[in-house]
Amino acid sequence: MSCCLAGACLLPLPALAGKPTAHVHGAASLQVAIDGNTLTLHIESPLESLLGFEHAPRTDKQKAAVRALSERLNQAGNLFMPSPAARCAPVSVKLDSPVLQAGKQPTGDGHADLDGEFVFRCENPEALRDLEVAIFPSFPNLRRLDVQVAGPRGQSAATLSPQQRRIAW
Amino acid sequence: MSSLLFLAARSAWNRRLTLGMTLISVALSVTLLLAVERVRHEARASFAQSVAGTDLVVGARSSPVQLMLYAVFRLGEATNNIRWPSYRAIADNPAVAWAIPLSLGDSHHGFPVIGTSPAYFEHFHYGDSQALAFSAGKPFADLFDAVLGAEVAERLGYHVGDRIVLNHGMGEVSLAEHTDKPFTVVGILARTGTPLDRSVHIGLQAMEAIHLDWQGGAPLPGLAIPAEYVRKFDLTPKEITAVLVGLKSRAAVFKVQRQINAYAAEPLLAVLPGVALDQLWQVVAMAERTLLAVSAMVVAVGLCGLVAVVLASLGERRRELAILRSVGARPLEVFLLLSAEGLFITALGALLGLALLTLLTAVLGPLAQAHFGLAIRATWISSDELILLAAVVGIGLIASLLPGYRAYRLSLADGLMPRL
Repeated sequence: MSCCLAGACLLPLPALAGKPTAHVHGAASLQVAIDGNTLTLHIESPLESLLGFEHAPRTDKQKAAVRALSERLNQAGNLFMPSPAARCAPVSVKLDSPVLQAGKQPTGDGHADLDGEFVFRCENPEALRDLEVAIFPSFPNLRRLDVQVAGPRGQSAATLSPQQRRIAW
Repeated sequence: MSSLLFLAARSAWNRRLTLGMTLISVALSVTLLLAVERVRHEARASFAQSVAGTDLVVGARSSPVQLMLYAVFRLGEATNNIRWPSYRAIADNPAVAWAIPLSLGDSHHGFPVIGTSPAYFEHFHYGDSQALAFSAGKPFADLFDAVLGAEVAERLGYHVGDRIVLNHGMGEVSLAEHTDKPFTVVGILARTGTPLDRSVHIGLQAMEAIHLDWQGGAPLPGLAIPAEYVRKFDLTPKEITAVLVGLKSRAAVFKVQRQINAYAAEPLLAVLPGVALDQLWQVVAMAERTLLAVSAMVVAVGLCGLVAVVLASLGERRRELAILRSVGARPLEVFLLLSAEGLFITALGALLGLALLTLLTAVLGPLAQAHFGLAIRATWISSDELILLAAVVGIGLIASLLPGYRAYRLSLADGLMPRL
């Protein structure tokens, strides 16, 4: 393997390109990073778990479902509830998925994902000790959420489900 | 009431052999139960203490748990090495504050040897973010310098200035030794209670140097490069085993993890050590629950034995109880007498079990530390253990009501002259 390429390859790669990630229907992963007063949530989910299908929307019903998905995910404050005492407010939502971009087809084996990044700004980050995830009622196909946390008190992992919606650290 | 207790004690003393054996069985079962809980707890604490302040651990693509085990805890083997250019690429990532290369595989009297860079002593943290401290000497500076973990120095009796020879590969006894290139001990680290205490640290270049004239795990016949000449060679390593990465901003950890996992030139795996540990505990949880269930069953067996012994003694004690009744003891007092006996033995057994456990951890703790780098401290009782103990005594109390009730019924039915 050529070493001159090495430095160049690492940086400009867009997230996830080239790496075959696990794609399990019914499951999704959530990454929680806390740094200073910024809380960043990154969700990565098979579209099936959120939409029920993974191809470009064809019927009107499917197109409406995609619109509804996008609207729902843009309401970050309704999906993720950080500790109230930390007084966190959503500042930005970034969604990336083949179905959200017109004309872009899912590649490869026909499976497709959605990547979402939700950034919160917290006035009192010391009080940020847990996160309630309220996405399960909106997406009945989603049964399991694997959560990873990197915060000032260290790193941890947990699995959330419709029964267990809160993660503390 | 106090005279009743006095009588109960005298009566129990009269049956000290059978009650004593029952007491021992309860105590042993409690020891087992508490030991399972304590080892579980201490193992988690010990693992969690072993790495702090490291945002990512990078190795060849395998399972996150396996990577953590070999890179941080020196348990198991690496599936693959990673190439030096990959390390350079990670270290040059603008989000990365520091990247410590690790090269594993050699040993010294069974203790693992780690080839690394001097940055290791600066950036590696353990426990609640404590930096490494030297109890003697300083980090390695020259090519054939070595820094020892506290356990290595203590067990092998090394001091700063001693010369040591490394073995090729792992294993207590090895035929292949790097005798031609001995190392000088320049530093000894203060004890950390982590696998680090069992490690010998040398420079990456030194790791490369002692293997210059080796091929395929053995010295090349007819080609021996003397120690004084190796410095003329390019000692940049070609491969390393793993990289510990610290980031400038914690928020970037998942982004950098994705970048490393997507690295095109070589399949790499970056894991968050804390996350990998939690995943390990999720895997182990099933086995832990099984162990706890088995030891709980053993306690149940012990308590059943206790109830059986007290019940069996009723037969021979019918006259004793009848006499008690005749001198004025009420049936309720007979009930209390028998119940108190069972409860007393359970409580005493629980205390003895705890004492035995404390003794065992004090004796076996250092052994676990020496062999596995697993620190099992002789701590005072934890709240979880207290709950277990309370549960044992509670169940013992409920179980003891049975012989009490039986004695109560008998004392109502029997006259002074029971048919024996």
